[in-house]
Amino acid sequence: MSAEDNSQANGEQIVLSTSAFDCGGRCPLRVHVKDGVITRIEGDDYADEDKQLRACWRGRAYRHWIYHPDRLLYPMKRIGERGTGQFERVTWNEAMDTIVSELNRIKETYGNGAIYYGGGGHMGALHTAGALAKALAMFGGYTAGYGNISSEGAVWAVQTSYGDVMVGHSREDLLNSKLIIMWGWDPVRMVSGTDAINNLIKAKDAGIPIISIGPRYEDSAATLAAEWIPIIPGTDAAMMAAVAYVIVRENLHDQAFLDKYTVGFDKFKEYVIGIEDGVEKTPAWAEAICGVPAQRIADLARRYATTKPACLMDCQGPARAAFGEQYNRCAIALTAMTGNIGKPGGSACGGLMGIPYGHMFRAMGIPGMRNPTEAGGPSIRGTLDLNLRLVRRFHVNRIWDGFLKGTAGGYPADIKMAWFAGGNALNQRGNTNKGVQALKSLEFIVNQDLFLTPTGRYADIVLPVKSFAEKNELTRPWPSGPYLCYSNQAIEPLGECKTDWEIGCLLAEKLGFKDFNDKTEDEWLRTFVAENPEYQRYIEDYDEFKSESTHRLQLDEPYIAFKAQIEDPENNPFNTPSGKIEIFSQRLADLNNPLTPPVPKYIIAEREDRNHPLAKRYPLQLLSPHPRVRVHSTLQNVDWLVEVDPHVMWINPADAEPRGIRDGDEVYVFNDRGKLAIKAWVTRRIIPGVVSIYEGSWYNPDEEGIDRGGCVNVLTDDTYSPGGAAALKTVLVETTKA
Amino acid sequence: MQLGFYFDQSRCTGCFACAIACKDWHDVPAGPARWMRLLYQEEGKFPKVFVSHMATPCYHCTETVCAYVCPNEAITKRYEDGIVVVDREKCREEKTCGIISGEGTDLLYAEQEAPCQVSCPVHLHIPAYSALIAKGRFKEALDLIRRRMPLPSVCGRVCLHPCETECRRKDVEEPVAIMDLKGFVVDNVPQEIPDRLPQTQPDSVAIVGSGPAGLAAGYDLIRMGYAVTVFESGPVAGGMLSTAIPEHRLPREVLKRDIDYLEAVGIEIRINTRVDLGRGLDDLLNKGYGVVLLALGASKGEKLDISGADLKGTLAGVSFMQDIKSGKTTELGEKVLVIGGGNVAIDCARSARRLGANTVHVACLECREDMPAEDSEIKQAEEEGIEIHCSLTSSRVLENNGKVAGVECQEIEGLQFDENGQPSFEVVKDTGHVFDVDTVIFAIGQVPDLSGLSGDIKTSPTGTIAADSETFVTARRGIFSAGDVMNGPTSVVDAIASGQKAAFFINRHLQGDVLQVQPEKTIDPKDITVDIPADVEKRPRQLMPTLPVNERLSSFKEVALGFSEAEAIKEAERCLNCAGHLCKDACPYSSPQFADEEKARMQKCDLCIERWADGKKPICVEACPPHALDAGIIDELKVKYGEVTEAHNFNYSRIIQPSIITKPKQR
Repeated sequence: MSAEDNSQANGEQIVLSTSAFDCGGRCPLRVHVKDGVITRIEGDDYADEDKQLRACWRGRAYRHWIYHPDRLLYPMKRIGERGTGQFERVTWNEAMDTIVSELNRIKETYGNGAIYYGGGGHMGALHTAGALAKALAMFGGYTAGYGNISSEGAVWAVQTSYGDVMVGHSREDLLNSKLIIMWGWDPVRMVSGTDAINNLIKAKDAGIPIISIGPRYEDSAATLAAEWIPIIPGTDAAMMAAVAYVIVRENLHDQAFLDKYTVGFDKFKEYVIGIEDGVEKTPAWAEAICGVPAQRIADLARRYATTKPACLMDCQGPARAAFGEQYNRCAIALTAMTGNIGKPGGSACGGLMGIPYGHMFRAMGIPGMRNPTEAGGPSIRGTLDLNLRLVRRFHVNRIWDGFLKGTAGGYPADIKMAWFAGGNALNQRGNTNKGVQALKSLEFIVNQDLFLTPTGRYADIVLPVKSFAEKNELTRPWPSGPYLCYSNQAIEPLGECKTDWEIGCLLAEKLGFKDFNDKTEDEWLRTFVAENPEYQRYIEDYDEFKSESTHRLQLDEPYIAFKAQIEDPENNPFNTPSGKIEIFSQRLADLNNPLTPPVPKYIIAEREDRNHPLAKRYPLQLLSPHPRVRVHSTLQNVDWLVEVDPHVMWINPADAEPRGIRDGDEVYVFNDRGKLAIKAWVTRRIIPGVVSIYEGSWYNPDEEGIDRGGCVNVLTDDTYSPGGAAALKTVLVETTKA
Repeated sequence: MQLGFYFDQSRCTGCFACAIACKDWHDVPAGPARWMRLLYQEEGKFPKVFVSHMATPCYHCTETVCAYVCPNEAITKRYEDGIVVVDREKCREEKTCGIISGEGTDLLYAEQEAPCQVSCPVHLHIPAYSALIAKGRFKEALDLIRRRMPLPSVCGRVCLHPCETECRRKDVEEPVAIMDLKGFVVDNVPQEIPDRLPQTQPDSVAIVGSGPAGLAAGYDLIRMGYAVTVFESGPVAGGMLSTAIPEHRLPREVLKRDIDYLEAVGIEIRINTRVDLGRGLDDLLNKGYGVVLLALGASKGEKLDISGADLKGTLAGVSFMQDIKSGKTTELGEKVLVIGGGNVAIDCARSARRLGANTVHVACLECREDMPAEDSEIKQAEEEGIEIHCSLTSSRVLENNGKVAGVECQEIEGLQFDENGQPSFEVVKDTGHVFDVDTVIFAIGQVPDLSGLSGDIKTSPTGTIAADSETFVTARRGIFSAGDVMNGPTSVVDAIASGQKAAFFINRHLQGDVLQVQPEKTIDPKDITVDIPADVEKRPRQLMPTLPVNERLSSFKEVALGFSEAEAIKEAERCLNCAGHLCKDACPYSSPQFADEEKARMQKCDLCIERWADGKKPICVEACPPHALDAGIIDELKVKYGEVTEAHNFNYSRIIQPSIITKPKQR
C-alpha cells in the first residue's frame, strides 16, 4: 500500500484519497485505515481553512458505501427470469468465457453492430471502461450511444454560441460580481465545484445580492438568495426573452460589446420585439407563460442590465427539457447583451461552468481506438445537426426505443446484446418500463458495477467492480478547480472485484489480443502524468504528487472564460465560424429547422406541456432533479444518507390539500408510462402545479408493476430535444394518496 | 473553562455533512442515535418561504439537568473544559431507568412514555420533574413543567390529574401525588419575571376568551413568535378559573401569578372587552389578525327542566360561584341542596357552607365511584359536614309562597350517558324522598354562551361550536375554536390541551401549510406493561396537609396547605420512573440519544474530546462545507464572532445556559 504512511500510535494509517463519483465535486478524503479496514474519514486539512476543499455529505458517507452489505463481490450469472434478481456465483473464468462465447455468437450471427456498449459512473483516468471499449473495437466494433443525459442541452448551446465548452469562471470570481442570479442553479445540491458553496456564501456575506429563479426554493436559494422568483418549468426561455425585451426597449444593452464581439444580435432583437413573428415578447406576454409577474420580470431586467458586472448563472437542469437548449442559448444572449462575457464578476453562461485547469474533460486515458462500426459514417465534428450524430449511434435517452425497433424504426442497428460498464442505464434513462421491455428483448446482457443494480438484475452476467478506495487513480475536479488529484488505494479489493480497466484487459486477453496491455497500474499512472501537458506543467515529481494527493494549481488571477477573446479579439477569435459569439448561428440557419432556430427562442413543448390537453388527465408537471444524497443512482441505500434525506416527492400544499395528501403520506405518482409509490413531502418550497422527485432511486417494481423504489424514470419519457437534451423534465403526471 | 459551539445559521445549507461526519467519526450506526441533529424549519406562505436550520448536538449546558435527573449518576460535567460526558457503563446499570415493556408497540425506548405522561392531556414530563424534585432541583423542575404547561399554579391545584389515576405506584400502594408536587414547586420557587419573547412572525392572533384553552393557545403561539391578543369580556383574566372556582381551591393571587407570567412573556390580555361574535369577528380579521381563536368556554349554567326550577331560591351553580367570586351578595338560605356530581357541585356545596348554610346536601345521578368530582374534594366536603346522596334524580322543586320549599327525589338505576352526554336511567319505584331545603343550586353542567354568533360559523346540536375535531377549524376560514366552547364542559387540563392543539394548527394555517398531519401514535395507558421490581419498598403517599375544618368554614382560605420541602422530596422519590430516559426528557434539546437495541444506553455529542487533545476541532466543524460551525472556548468565540445571540430558537428553557452562540438567519 503506497500512501502517506502517517503511522499512528494505534497502528492506524491515513491514506489520502478522493472521491471519484460522477458529481460536481472532487474532494480530498483522509481515509483512516486500521488492519486493512477503513475506520473513519477526515476531510481536507489544508492549512488555509478558508481554501479547504471540504467534502460534502456524500463523501462523508463513503465508508458505508464501500462496506455496504449489498456490495457485489463475485461474478455471477443469472439463473432466474430477467429482473427477478436470481443469480449464482461463478468464477471470473466462467463469466468471461460465457461473455466471449456470446460475443462471438452475436458477431457471427448479426455482426458487430448488434453489440451495444455503454459506460458511466467512475470518473478517473485509468480505471474507466476505456479499455473495454478498445477491446470491443479490436473485436470488430460495437454500437454506442450519443450524448450525455445531464448536460446535452447546455453542450449544444455553448457549441452553437462559443464553439467551446470551457465557459466557467474560477469560483472566487463570484466575489467580483455586483449581482448574482442563480437561474436554475443549485450548487448546494449538485455542488458545482467543491469550492462553490464557500465562495457563494462569502459573496453573500460581502453584501452581493443573490437572486434565485427556479420552480423550487432550492437549498442554495434558501441559504443565499435575498429573493426567490418561482417559475413554471420549461418556460425559462420565455422569461429570458422578456428580460431581453425590456433591456432592448429601454436601450440598456451594451451595443458596443455586441458590435465588437457578437454576430446576429439584430436578428434576436427582431424576434424579441416582435418584428419576426408579430409577437412582442413583453413581460406581460411572458407572465402568461412562466407565471412570474410582469413587473418582477421588468425589474429583474433593469437590475441585471444596469448592475455591472453581473453574474448570471444558468445550469443544466432546466435544459433537460423539450427545448432545453434554448434556455442556455437565451442566457448566453442575455450575458452578451449586458456585456458581461470575459469580465471579472461576469459570466459567459451556457450552463457548463467549467474552467480549463485540472478539468475532468481533459483527463488522460489509455490510448483508444476508432470504433470500426462507425467507420464511413458522416463527419460529425463540430456539427449542430443532431441527426448526423445519430446516423451511427443511438441517442442516450432513446436506446430503449432503439433496442425495440431497430433499423426498421430508423435506428442505426438491431441490437441483440448490451454491455453496460456501470451507468445503471435502466434506472437512469427515460421511460424505465420501456427499458424493461427493451432489455427483455435482448439475447445477452453484461452489467458491471459495485452493486446488483436494477440494470444488473436484467443482465445475464454481472461483474463486480472496485470502489475508488480499492485502487490507485488520477482524478480531476469537475467543473471547477483548479487542482489535480491522485487518489491512493486505501484497502485491498473486496471479494473478487476488479476495475473497469482490469475487466477490459481481461476481455482482451480472453479474446486473444496479445500485448493489449503492457503496463501496470502504477506504470500507466506515471505515463499519464509524464505525458499530459497539464501534469507536465504543474507536477514536478510523480511520487510527491502521489503522497500529496491533492495538488492545487496556483493561478495568477481567477480564471475568466473568454477573457483572452474579449481583451484581444484580433488575436483570439472565438471558435465559431464567424470567430465571434454567435447569437445568430448561420450553421443553424443552414439546417433550416424551425425547431433549432438560428437565434434563441422560447418554443412551446408540443407534448406534455401544462397547456397540452393531456394536462386534463395529468395536471402536474414533474421535475426530476439530481438527488441530494446520491450521485445519480450511486450511493443508493447508504443508510446514513437515507436517514437524513429520505426519498420523497415535493408537493405544494395547494396541490396536496385538494388531493387529501398529508405530509408523510404514501402516494402514487403516475402517467401512461408508469406508476411509482413514494412518500409525499408537503412543502411551500415548490411552485404549485409541479411535483419533484429526485432521480436515481432504484427501480423496484412490485407484482402489479408499481415501482416501489420511486425511480422517477418510470414516469419520464425516452425523448430528446432538437439539440439533443434528454427531455426528462417535460413530463405530466397525476398523484393520489396510496 | 467552557468549550462550546458557534453556529452561523445564515451559512448553514442544511446539507447534513456535520451529522454524517459525526456518525462516521464516532462509528454510530444509522438509526435513532444522532449525536448531531439538524432541525429544519420552514416558515411563511408560498412564495415568501423562509427556511432555517439549527444544529442540535449536546450544548454542554451550564445547568446540567440531564445529570441532575440521572438515577445512576452516569452524566457529569467536566470541570476542566465544561464538556458534559456520559459514562455508558454506568447508564442504566445500577438503578433501572425504565421498567416499561415495549412489547406490542412499535415505539423505540426513547419514544416510550410512562402511563402518567400518556394519560396527561398535555404530556407533561412527570417522571423527569419528579426526579428533579427528588434531587431538590425545584427551579429546574418548574422550568421543565413550564415548557409544556402554561398554568402550573392552577394545574398544581385544580387539575383532575388523570396521571394519578394511571400512576403505577398504585400497584405498590398508592399513586404519587403528581399534582401536589407540581403545586409545591410553583409555590416554592421564587416568582421570576420572565423576559418578553420576541415577535418573529408577521402575523397576530386574536383569542376570544381568557380561560385555560385561550391562555394555553396564547402561550404556545407567543413562543412560536406570533403576537397574541386575548380578549376577555369580564374584569379578570382566567375565564372559569377566575369566576367559577372558589377561593378555597384556587386563590385569586395564585391564578394571578400564572397570568402575570403569561403577560410578561408578551400575551396581551384586554379585560372588559367583549367581542361581538358577529361583526366583531369581521372587525378583528380586518384589523390585521391573521386568525381568531374562539375559546369562550362554556360558562352558562343550566337548570333542570323540572317544575319549580325557576322559583325564588333556585340558583344556577356557575352563576352562584361567579357571584361569590365577584363579591356580589347571594340569596342563600339555611338549607341548601346542590344538584350535580361534578366539581362545580362540590364547589357550590362547600362555598354554601362557608357562606353560612347550616345544612348542605349534594344529590347526583351517579353512584359514588362514578362521580366526576375529585375524590379529595368529596372527602373534604364530607369533612365539612356536607351530605352526599348518590343515584338520585330530582323530579320537582316544591313550592311555598313562591319560594323553594324542598326538592323531591327518587332513586335510580341503570344510569347511562349517550354520546351527547344526555343521561338515561330507570327510576326505582316507591323511593320518593323530599329534601327539606330552601335553596336549590343546579350544578348539572354548562353550555357556551354563543349569542350573536355569526351565521357562517356552525354550531352543534349540543350548543357548542362545530369545528373540525382534528384541525379545530370552524366553518369559516381563519376562525378556529378550542376548549369547552367546542367540546362542551371538560376539565382544566383538557381545555389546556385543546388550546395547545389549536395553536399547532393555527400555526400551520398561518404558514400556508396543509393543516392535516399524520395521526399521532396513541396508546392506551392501561395497555402499558410496567414490570415493577419485586423489591420496591412500600412507602405511603404523603398526605396533603389541610386547614382544620373549623378554620375552613369561617373563611375562603385555601384548604390545601402545600407540602414542605421534605414532604415533597419524599413524595417525589416514590416515582417508579416507569419510562426511563429522564435525561432526554429533562433536556430542552432532547440531546441524549438511545440506539434501538436491547437495554440501549445513552449516548450523545462529547464535543470530540479526543480530537481537542490533538489540537483539532470536532469533526462536524471540520466537515462543514459552508463553514457554518465552529467550536472553542465560549468566551473566545464571543470575541471572534462579535455580535451574536444565544440559541433560543428551539429552547423554551429559561434557566439552562447552553454553550452555543448563534448568528441567527435574517428573515
